[in-house]
Amino acid sequence: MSPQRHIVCPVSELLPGQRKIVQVGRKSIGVFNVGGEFYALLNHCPHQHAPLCLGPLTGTTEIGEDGRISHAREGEIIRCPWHGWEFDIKSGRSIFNPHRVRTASYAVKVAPLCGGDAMTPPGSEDSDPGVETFPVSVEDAYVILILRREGNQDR
Amino acid sequence: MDKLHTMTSPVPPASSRQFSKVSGIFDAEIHASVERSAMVARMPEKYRSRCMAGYHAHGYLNFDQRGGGYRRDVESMEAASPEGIRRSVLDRYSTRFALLTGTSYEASIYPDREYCNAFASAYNGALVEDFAEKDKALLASIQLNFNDPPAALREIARWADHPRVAAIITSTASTETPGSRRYDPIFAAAAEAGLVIAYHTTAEGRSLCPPPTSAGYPSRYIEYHSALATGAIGHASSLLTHGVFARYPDLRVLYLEGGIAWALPLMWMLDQDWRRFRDEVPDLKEPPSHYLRHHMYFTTQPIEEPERGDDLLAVYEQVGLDRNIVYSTDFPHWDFDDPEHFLPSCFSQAQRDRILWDNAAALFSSKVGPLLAKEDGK
Amino acid sequence: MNDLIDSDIHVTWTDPKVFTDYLPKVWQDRFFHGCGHSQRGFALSQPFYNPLAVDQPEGCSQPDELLGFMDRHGIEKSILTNWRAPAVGNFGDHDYPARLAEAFNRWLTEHWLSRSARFFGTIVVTPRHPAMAAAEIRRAAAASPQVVQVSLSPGTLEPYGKPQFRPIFEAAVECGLSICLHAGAEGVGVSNPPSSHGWPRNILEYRVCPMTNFIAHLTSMMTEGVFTDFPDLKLAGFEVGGALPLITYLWRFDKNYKALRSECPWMRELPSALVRKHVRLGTQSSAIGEESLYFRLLESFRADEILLWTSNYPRWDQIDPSTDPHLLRGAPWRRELVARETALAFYPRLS
Repeated sequence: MSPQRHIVCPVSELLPGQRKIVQVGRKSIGVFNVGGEFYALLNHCPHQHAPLCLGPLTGTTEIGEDGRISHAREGEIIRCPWHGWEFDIKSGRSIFNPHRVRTASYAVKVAPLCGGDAMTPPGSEDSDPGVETFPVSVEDAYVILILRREGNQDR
Repeated sequence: MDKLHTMTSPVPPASSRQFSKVSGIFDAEIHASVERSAMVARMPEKYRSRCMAGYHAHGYLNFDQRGGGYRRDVESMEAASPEGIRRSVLDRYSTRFALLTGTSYEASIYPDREYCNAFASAYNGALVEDFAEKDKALLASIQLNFNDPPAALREIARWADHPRVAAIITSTASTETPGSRRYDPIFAAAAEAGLVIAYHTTAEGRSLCPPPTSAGYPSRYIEYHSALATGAIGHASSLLTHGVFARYPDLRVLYLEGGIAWALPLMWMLDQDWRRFRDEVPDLKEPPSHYLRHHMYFTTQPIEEPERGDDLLAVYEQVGLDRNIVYSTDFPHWDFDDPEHFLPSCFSQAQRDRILWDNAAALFSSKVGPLLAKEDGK
Repeated sequence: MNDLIDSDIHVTWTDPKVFTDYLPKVWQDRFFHGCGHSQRGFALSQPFYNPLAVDQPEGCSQPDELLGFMDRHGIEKSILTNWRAPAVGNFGDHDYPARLAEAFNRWLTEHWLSRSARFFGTIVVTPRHPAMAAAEIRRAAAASPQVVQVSLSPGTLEPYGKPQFRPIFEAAVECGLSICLHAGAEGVGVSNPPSSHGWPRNILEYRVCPMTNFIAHLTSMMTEGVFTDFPDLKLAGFEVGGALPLITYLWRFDKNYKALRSECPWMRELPSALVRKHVRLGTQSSAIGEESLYFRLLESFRADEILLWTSNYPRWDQIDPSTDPHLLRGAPWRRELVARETALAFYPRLS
């Protein structure tokens, strides 16, 4: 199945440290700007199905050089709003067991909208998106969500 | 190994599913947030300023690093009004009845006895009048100072006949062993009034209480919260071995947030020792497991998570799936259990119904029954 | 054919005068005559009278007798201890109990371990004085290759995960010894009460405490990173209720770890994974209420990997190996693990 491309928003509306939750069909997906790079995760915690992407956007803890606990990876971690499971936004993998526990993640890119591209704005599957052309420049770039599964098994 | 004694008499299931036609679930624990401002109007003048200043939070161990204990996808202030509770929990999860446990149940363990009594009394008034009476789904648990039995008895007398007061509540944390005879007047009054005593697993190690475990004080919340299960285990072993249920056969108790699975090895352990040492506990006419199954109830939250869901089912069946186990959300706390997704898939719909409705409706039938009848215009 | 290893047998002395050889003169008065209120010897008063223990031996007092028991039941090797000795950790003093610990350890080594290559020993130390404890571990381990384990009193003021106890674990690991907690001294002497509600009032309530106490110490050690700092550390629990209470506890503790891991980043694995690597439990005190359910739950956890067979001979609640379900159960239960293999892997000095 070929990947579907969905418009999230103009880049100017999703600045570093921000997130947007978009509905794509039956999927709710959180799109994040982490330090200028974009990532998207299924808004669904594999534990008890909480809305994962509504949780705190934060860092985690690690042991510093001096052997003491320190804060790390600020802005790279999403914590489930219920039980606090930590997930790496960039990979969707849990911190406590990255090999076995993760949420689904999706590719995101920044691109201008070009004439001839048929794309579906999220939440508007039924409407005719029409075809629009936009000047190609960074200021007019959009965040595009690509719905092809990354990694393996479905959840 | 000696063969262990199993139950001497069968335990009846939750009475005949008498409310089975009701749709909706029973949530055995919602923490209504009672504001201090609502309490002070109900207190003697002498205590108002200290209450507003936040006194009565003594002995916190300052180990919690998480940045708060609430769910992060709802406003915790939703719990501060009956409308918020209806919106965020009752309507959201099709809840027919919910037991409110509030934000405080520790009047038994703080040093100033008279202030504890005034605090409990004012808190109970606010919880019942500002919450329970304002929504058809809400039932209240009233807080007592177990360390002042005469004051506790006055508070029971005040509320026992209220149609929406279904339980007494206190913490599992206790200044002396919870099955102690000095609490007998409270057990007697609760049993007489048909009020369930809810013991909320919390507050071990605070204020006048011994350290939270026999090993000593924890460093962090993960250590404290996990080992709280040992507090529930010790608490239950005290009530069981002191013969509380032998003396008060109508008494029922409900453990909140203590876990359930430990009840199985505890029953086996106590039964084995009862066979050996029964002369040392002459109050017990039956093995301890008998009293647990007939008198002890447990909320599911935070649900234990074995690797194999059918192991949880097997343990629940031994403890009392068709009677003793009741669902709760613990809204708005972080370790909330979603009613649709919290049980492993091996639980049948009938088993889910027991846990989500029948068992709690039966446990609180003396209040649920009349309220339902009133709604039906009977 | 002797294929069993018994990881918990109790030994004792017929005449405390044997300790004359091991105690400095300055402490002999105190040991033999007491400091008032019958505080002689190793005794710290127990809170409850056990009517079943009254006419039963405290321990085996003759090596030949013990060898006879072992031969009758096919036990190749046994690990010896004394159930009162760990209470030296709960005495009020520091030098005296440290000397007592050394005296016990030397007595055990010279009166028992040197008498048969089939005997192995659990020594005692004074954990409230970690430097003294570490020194005694090194001395006793060097004195005999048959010393395999250090017993720490379960009755404490602070849980064993706290930083001050690290020198004890360092010494144990350095010498190839495991650490154990053996029920008996909860709430005794200088100690917190044995439960979080203060004092139990009857023996049934009291006998639940070793299980909850072990869980509390284990939780502390895990969340404080003891097993990260000492990846070779081994911890055993004897007479703490066996595997089932710990398994049901892990259903809660594992869940909490997934949520709260960031509080203790030095704890790098699930609690149940740490248990498999580092923790073993004696079988003797297990309460098997319903055998098929018991083994079903244990087999889910592969608990045959974490159990050490124990008889508790010759105490009042000893187990007969010929009728012990842990040794009779068929596949998928791996009897050979419980009977000997787990012990051989857990105690490197046992081989």
